[in-house]
Amino acid sequence: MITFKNFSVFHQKKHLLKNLNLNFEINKVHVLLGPSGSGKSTLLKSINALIKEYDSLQIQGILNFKTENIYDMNEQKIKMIRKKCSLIFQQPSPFPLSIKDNLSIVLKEHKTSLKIEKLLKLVGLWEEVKSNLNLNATQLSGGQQQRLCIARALCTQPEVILFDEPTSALDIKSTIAIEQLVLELKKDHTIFFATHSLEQAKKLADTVTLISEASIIEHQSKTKFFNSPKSKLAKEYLSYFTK
Amino acid sequence: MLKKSIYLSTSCILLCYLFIFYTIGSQGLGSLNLDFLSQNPELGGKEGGIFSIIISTLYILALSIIFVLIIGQGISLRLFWHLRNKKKYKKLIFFFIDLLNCLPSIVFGLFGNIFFCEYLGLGYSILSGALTLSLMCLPFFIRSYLNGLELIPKKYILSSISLNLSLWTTYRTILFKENLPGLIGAISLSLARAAAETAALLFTSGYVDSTPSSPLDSGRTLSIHIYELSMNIAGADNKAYATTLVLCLIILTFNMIQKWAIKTKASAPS
Repeated sequence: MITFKNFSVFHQKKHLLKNLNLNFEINKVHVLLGPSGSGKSTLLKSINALIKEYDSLQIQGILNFKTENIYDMNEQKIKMIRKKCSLIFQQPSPFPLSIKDNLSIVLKEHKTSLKIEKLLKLVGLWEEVKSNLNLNATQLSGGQQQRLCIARALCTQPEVILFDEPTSALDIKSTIAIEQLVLELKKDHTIFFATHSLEQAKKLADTVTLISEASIIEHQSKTKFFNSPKSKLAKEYLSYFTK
Repeated sequence: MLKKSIYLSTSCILLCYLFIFYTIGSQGLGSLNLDFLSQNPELGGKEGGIFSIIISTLYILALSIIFVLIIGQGISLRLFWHLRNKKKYKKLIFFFIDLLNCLPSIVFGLFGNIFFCEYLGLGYSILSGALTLSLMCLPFFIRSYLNGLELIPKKYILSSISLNLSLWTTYRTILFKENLPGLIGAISLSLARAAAETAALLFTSGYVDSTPSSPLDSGRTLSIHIYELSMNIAGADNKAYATTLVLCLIILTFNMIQKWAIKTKASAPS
């Protein structure tokens, strides 16, 4: 369970996340909806403590992973959190190494017994690259790179996978492949999926969280969110997209 | 007007360089031949060549670059990794690195003399000279190497942190490869600076003009040899110019390597 209690993130005096009070259950797909700059990425980066990389950001409140506040943890525990909560960035970011090395360096570092073949099969990339595992990963297409990044994130055997608009730069075919993969991964992982797309939210979500201007507008199950949204902004958002 | 002043200032600089190279070339080329490069100096350098001087110079440069590579890379990586999200500390440390970079080389020479020659008992030797030179080059190397590291796409660093990879793994697999041109550039510029150094070596490596057989022997570098020939040996001006020509060619080579490294980095796909 991931719990936010009065959690805020500031940049100087500007709120990037404002007084969040949320519970996210395990083994579900939590879709974060909202316009650009609303705070979706900040929320995801808060969960794996990557916002600590930005020294201009200040953090207030509590963000519990299971029972422990991430922001009270020492450096060693933060590393464990990053291992347990893998982040997939908006832009595919494979290392400028071969496809095989992109996975093997992470597998070696974390001493996991997962097989490269199994990981690539899981993300549906094996058939496309099996004959050329030594190809530099930067030469793959955007969709293939993103799936490789998902495979790489799985190397740490995470409990939570954080997807930060992973399909925003991809074509329809790659987008569908990643959406199917998310539904597949849901069986064993808790998934956070930031997106602009209501269609994607409908396909993937168990819960939907609508964020606007750093605040939570609506946090509901998918059915409730799409059938009976409470807030005015959520209704407007839905009507705008269904027009 | 601006165009004219640019042309004028460029021409002035070019003329100065041409005058210097013409003077060195016209006076030194006559003495520069295979014998000059392959014979040891005699009569303090007035006769013979500069073979032992070249060996001493390369010896000192090789040793100092080994120290700079090991220590400099270690410090740069630690600073890069641990100060990546601490801008204030970064600024403060960079201020002191720049301060060290501005220190006159004679200060390093005096420190090297007291610490390496006297305190550690290494005496006037190639090792004392190399250690002093490496200390002198470290701030410059660290700054250049860090500049190269800062140019590596942030997405690789964030991915690495997000995947909880250690600094060693990140360095071995990504940072070293991505910043190899930066490393070559930093080394070649440090070498060029070290090769031209006189003051720091006057107090540490000594004046002996024979070929050193071990790092604990004293040795005379090209720059000290030029100083000796032009200041203390009468009638050795042509030899001094020829030695200067050799030193200029060595420095030019290092600079060319650095230019090539920058060109490679600029054209490398990220």
